[in-house]
Amino acid sequence: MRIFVAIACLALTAVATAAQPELRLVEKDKSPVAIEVAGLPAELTAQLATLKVDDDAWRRILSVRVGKSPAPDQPAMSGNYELRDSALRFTPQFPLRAGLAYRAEVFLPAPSREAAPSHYDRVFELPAPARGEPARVTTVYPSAATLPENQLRFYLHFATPMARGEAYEHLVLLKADGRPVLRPFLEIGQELWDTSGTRLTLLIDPGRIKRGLSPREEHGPVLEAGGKYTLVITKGWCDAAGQTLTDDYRKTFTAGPPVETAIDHKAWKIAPPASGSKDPLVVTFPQPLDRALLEHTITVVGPDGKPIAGEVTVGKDERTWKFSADQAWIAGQHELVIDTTLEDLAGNRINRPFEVDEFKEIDKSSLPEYVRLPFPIRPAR
Amino acid sequence: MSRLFSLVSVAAVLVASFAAAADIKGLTESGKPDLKSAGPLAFGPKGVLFVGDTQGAAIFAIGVGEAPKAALGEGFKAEGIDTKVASLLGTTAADIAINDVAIEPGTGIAYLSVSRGKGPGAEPAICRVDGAGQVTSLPLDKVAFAKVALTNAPTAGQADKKGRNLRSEAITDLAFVDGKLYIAGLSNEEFASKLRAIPFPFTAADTGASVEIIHTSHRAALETRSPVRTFVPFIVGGEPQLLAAYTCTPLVSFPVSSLKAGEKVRGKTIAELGNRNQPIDMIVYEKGGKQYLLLANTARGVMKISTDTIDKQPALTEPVTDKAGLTYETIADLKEVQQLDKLNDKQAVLLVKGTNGLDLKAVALP
Repeated sequence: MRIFVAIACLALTAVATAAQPELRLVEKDKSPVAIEVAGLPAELTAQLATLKVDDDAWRRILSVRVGKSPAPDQPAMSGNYELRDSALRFTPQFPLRAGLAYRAEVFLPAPSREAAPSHYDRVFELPAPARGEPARVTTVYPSAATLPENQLRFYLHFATPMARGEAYEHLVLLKADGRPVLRPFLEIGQELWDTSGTRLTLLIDPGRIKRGLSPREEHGPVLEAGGKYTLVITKGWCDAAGQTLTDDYRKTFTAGPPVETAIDHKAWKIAPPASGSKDPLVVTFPQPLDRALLEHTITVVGPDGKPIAGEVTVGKDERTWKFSADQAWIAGQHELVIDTTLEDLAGNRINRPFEVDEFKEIDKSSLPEYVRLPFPIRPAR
Repeated sequence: MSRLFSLVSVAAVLVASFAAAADIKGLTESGKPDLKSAGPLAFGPKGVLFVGDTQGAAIFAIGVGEAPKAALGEGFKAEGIDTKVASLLGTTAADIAINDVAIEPGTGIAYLSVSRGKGPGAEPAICRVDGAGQVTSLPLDKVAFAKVALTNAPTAGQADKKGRNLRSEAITDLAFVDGKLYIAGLSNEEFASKLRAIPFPFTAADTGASVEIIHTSHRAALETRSPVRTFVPFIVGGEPQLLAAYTCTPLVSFPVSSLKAGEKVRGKTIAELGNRNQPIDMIVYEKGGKQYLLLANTARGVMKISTDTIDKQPALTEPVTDKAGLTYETIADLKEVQQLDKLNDKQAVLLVKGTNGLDLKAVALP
């Protein structure tokens, strides 16, 4: 936590004289945290000591701007001023950015009516950050080679946190003949990232999926059964550290018939492990389910009614779900407790399809939050 | 002293004092709010700015203190506002994003929510712009504030194998009506509509009603869950309503009174705005004794929608080929609009893509 002042290795742009104030960078734990000016006339520091913290007079003595040669009308950086051991210190509201240059300027009042005010400046060039792991796409879900024509979303996973604000410039859906599908995605200004910035949720425009809406009536669905498509994530997309994807990533798939029915959890096949073993519990689904939701919408509850701790692995084409319990299985009645927010690839849920036909006899009462699938683990022989 | 001030002239106070904000009812804390990101903005009771924090899954109410005196007015234009904001925050325009613009009622000062940085670690900032185009940053280390965490936010048990919690909800819009803050959110996993109503002042026990919004399509009576993208309060037939634009194209209305926890609410489709309509922002205004909606749109510019017949408008139940329901016109000279808010009865403020980055400008309401 030692604070020291670094004055070496930095370009000094003002002509140095014995009397001129000294502009310098203040570092903390080897990171630049402030810029200060020392060697101010004693009369001036005495006057500064009387100023309120939010007085504009501070910034008229010392101002810091981004760039080597900032434009005259460019606003000075926002931050706090204080006197520290007779030096005037500016601590910016936000940290100085590695790789950028900052120009600090000092204006001193004229010592007499006849003299001119003094002006000093200095440019601080901060070294660029060290290069980290290169940006790349690690995987895209769903992983199946055939997706329903009413496919709702993709998950794009990246090796490093990505920059926000440029996703839709780097996403293209190509038809078999190489022509792009017109505006296939729901473009959301905020972009649907996870909090780590390594997974983007990409929705196909629901206006092109829902039946009876003008976008679909006018341009047809984005995907049509039998068609072959390629989702291209184009190179040049920046990650948060400024490194770009160096290659295109392509996921080619065929569109199959739409899936328009609710998830039938009663058709799931449960392969219980043997009691006393730590073998995984394996559940197989008739249709692929949503990769992200499978990670956290199914819980295993033991004979005591308490959730069992363990690790989930989603298998090939998102059609299997394996659960490896931390402890060996004990005999008795168990349950899968399934959160009904679980969806399949087309947004269908348990007991409720993505689109509900009001003319059909469907229970319109509120869905339960959870449904349960009991299964036994037999005692070892 | 005199010599110093002969140089600095009158000591203008750029950074307002925020002490007064602590007196505002509902701002129960003071100091530095742990804002992780600054997204959608909405003004509430006088001096209170609501900030949607998607990264932190929370809403903050922040006392903005005394505003600069110079309101934005007719002819206002601040070119390259992104460069100015970036300079103030000590970085470059390419390194920031302006996420929303809100005009403070009564003062006519523009507030911008900003991300400094482009990744998940981007720092949040709230900047304000006065009528002279001067940009200042709210020092968020000493404000009066209140915070409410969003219910249904991911819990610790939802982390993946690497301990990361991938589930989140993008806050897409906020509006304050009759003592309640309405919040639209879009999940990055399930396709669900979360429209919450949270009373302000926030109370620990009541983190808001979450309702499910259903959209009934125009053919075959198909209904789906429909995330709301943007919405605006509006009085229809004497009853407070929210007019909402869905992630799919329709414009719908539903009464505020129907938004009760656990309820399924069917929005009445009152207009189909046609293909490539992906709405960004909406305002309501009055001109010539008639009320209009102004809707900014990613692909189709700005639409002026007549609401003359809104209370008589039957729900659209037949298939349509393009636009239907309430009539609209596209305002040809308003292009590349990123954000939109009402300045006063005659003017709106727009954030638009200009020749040198983003411009913030006032335009006459069409």
